[in-house]
Amino acid sequence: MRPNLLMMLMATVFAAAAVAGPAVVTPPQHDLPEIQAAGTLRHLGIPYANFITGAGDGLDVDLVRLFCRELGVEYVYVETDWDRTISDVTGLAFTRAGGEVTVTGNAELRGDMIAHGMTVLPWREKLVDFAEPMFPTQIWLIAPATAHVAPIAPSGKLTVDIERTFKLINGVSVLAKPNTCLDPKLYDLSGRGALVVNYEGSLNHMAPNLLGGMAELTILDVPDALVALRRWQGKIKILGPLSEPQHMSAAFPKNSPKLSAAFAAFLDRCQADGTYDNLVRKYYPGVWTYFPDFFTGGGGAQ
Amino acid sequence: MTSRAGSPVGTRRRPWLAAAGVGLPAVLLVAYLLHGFYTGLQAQRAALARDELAHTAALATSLDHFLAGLEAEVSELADRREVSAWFENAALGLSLEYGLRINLLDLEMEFDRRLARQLPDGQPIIARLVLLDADGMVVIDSRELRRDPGAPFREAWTAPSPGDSTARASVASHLPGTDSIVLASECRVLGRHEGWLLAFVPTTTLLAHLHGGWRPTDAQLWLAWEGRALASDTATRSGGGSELPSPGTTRLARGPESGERPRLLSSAQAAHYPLVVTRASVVGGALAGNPRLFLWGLAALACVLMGLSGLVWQGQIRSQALGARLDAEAAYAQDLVARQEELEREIERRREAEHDLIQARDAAEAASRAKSQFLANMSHEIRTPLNGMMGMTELALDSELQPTQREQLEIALESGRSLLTVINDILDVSAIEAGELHLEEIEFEPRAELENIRRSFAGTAAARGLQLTWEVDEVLAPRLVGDPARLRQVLVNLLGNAVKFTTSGTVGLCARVIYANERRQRVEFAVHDTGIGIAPEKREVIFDAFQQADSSHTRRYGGTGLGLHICRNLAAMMHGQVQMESEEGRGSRFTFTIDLGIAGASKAPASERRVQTLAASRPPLRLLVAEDNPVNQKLVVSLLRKWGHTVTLTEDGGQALSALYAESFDLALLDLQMPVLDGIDVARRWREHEATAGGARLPLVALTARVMPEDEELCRQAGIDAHVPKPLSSRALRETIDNLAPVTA
Repeated sequence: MRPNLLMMLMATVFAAAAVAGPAVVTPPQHDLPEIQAAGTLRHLGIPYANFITGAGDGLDVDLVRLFCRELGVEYVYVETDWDRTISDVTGLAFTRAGGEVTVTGNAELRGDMIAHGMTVLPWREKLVDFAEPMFPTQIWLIAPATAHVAPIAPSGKLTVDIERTFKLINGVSVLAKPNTCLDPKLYDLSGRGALVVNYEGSLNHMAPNLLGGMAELTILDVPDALVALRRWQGKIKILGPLSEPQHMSAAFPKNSPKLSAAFAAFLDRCQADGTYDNLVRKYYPGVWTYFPDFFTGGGGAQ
Repeated sequence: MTSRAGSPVGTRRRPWLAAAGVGLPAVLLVAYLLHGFYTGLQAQRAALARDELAHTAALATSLDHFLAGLEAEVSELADRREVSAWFENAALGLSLEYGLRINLLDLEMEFDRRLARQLPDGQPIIARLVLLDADGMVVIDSRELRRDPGAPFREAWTAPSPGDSTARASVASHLPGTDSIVLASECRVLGRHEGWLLAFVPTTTLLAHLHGGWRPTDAQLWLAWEGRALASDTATRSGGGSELPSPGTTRLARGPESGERPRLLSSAQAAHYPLVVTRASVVGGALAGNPRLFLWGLAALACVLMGLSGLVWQGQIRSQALGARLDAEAAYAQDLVARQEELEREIERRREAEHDLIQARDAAEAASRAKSQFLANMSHEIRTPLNGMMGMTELALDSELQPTQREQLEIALESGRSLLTVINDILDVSAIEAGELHLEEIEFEPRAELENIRRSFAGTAAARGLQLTWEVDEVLAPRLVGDPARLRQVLVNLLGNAVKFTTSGTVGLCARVIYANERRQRVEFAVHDTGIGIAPEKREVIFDAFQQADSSHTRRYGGTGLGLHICRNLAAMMHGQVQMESEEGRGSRFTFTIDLGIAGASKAPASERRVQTLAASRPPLRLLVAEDNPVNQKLVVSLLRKWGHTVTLTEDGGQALSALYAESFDLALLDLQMPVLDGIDVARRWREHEATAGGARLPLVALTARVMPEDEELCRQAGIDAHVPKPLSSRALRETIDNLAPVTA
């Protein structure tokens, strides 16, 4: 009798644990009033292209500094990485399977907002609130200049161009970075026949690693590709697009609606008075004219 | 017969001989003079032609250098990363949609930057830039920026055959049908010919460059390229209706209009370009005329007048003037450059000097602020204990005392007052030096003020066995406008010195009006004594800070040596002056002269109002005292209770504010420096409360050891009605309360 009772008790405990899952505590509120009371705003950033140069400036660094000045709080930069940036701002640990996201527990809360050229993706929108689009982007396929593969001939229709570009990756090794906008699963690279090479370093180093022979091709987003085109002039070539147009923006925890609203109003003013255009011209001089409709048309307002 | 027959022959010969004898030397002389003048004129013309030619050659050289510089710039542009990036990425097969457009935009920005450059007069240096590929198709044309690459180049420009070597080819040409010189530079990437970069330089820019911001009014310029007229800064395309001279020559040209002045044309060719510059200068004087006609006329004139030498002399003078003018023009241009360089150096020197001055000023201001803060702190820290010491001594003196005890306490009180005088003097000097001492302009009654001063010295003078004399001019206005407190300070100081340095005899004051009109009176206050006097060599020194006539005086008579220094400065601030006459061993006479306004008759003087207020009946008041220092608490409370008032004591600003909200008071006395909330904060918050709640305005009095002028201003801004400095004068405190508290007789 006793062994049976003991086994029943253990089975009950395991079953209860399995149903309940890990305990998730609501992360502490860090909305606008708390930030103003603390007197500091923690900007989560990752050195990436000219959004955050790593030398203390960048498009997003300058913008968030201006935001802090408007709020009357001190600016604090907190460096993070692509795997933890959303946990750092939400205080939540989570797992992701394709587009599905499951919160698994709590994580250390390290920042108040994200701004480092992060692309707006559906799975990310389940965890954070994005501001209005701040920068246009797209995913392009890149090859070393010496590669035998030739760039596609533009057809005038994006869907046709994407399809032509996908044909180039069949049976070829392609460099990609999981958990970022260059996540191979987002574009089903394996499904289209590519031999995916997952890259673990900084996004800024993907182009030199491509030239170093880590893979035959790589994917890059437009701002990064244009920076690389200048930096490695004559050494890389752009083959064609692999995605529809995307946008990048700043992100906020879902329990910080006042902070999110304050930033939206601030961004509106910056776009209306030309402050934002001047910052884009400063850090992406060519890109500003490359997307004339986005920037001169008000960008995020569209 | 013979003689008659021979006579006509002799007569015919004599006139001929006479004519030959007189005429030939005259003709030779005239011929000699004419030849001299003619050759002189030709020499002048040749010199002028040489100068003109040299000037024009200099212009051609300048243009040559200018074009060579531009050609180098175009070559540098053709070698830039933006150009090579386009050709490299186009060769890799990149499309405009996916990547290549960024190179086009980079080119556009670089072109914009180059096209924005201008000459000082606003002329663009390069008007157009075009990049052609190896097939002669347009990659980018600054006139049609939004056009996609690949269109044929419409202009009639023929690309030279690319060189075989890796060296970059460069050509200059004139495009028919345009007003531009085209500078073309070959674009090469990794040694391979990729295309041509064309820069269009307007001919108007070349002319503007030649003028260089300075254009003589009588000079005109023409440019020609490979023999064809290119541009001119005048409406005519040729030199006065005739052909231009060939390079290296000059020609005198006359305009088609009658009366138009002739011009000397000179031409020169640029060394490296088929570009000819022609310059025309207006010629004046004898050089302007037809030389043959001029010579005939001059010959006829020379036969009648022998003053030809005068004209020669005149011609030489003009020639020299012309040469001097040409030299002056060249010197002027050099002088302008030298002046500009000197100006730039001067600006740089001044900028550095200004920077040094700003740094020195900032340092001085910082030091001044530190000094003022130190003085304010020191004053506060000394006044606070002094307040307790003097106040308690005064209170003790009001009690029953043994004569010895009373004498000792009076000495202690007098010592405290002396110390207070020293502190006040030091603060006054500091405020004067910092420019922070401001005078009041209020009405006062001079006779009453002088009488108060007399009373205050009567006892001391009597005690020292001195006779005190007092004379006040009958015409002194009953009410004047000025700063009575500072006037009193000067007179008390002078009288104090007189009493101090006089052991026997007389000390006195004489106030007399030495000038008056209906608005002002100039009053001379003379303080005289029969004291020790001042040695002649010390008479100026005594007005300096910390100086006395003799250092032994400091030991014997005391004092800091600041009094007269303050007096002189206060007098100067009141636009008056202090003067001194003295005889060693016999006495001194100090005169203090100032202008004072005469007050309007309708306004009652402040001193009179005060007397009236003091005379009113005064029932006990409910007073709030906010003071954190225990000694000062005891002193203030004792004084107020002695005067019959009810006192509520609080120890910090927070308690004071709570008491004000909870109870009703007739007046509040606030220390300025307290824990929790200082007196300024309490006053400010209470005034805000009054503004919203309404009701009667509560009089607020600051009791503080902070006596700098800025502290008084701070009190006024916070809504404090009066400011009583520490150490407290019981009289001043009582007068302030009586003036401010409501009278309920």
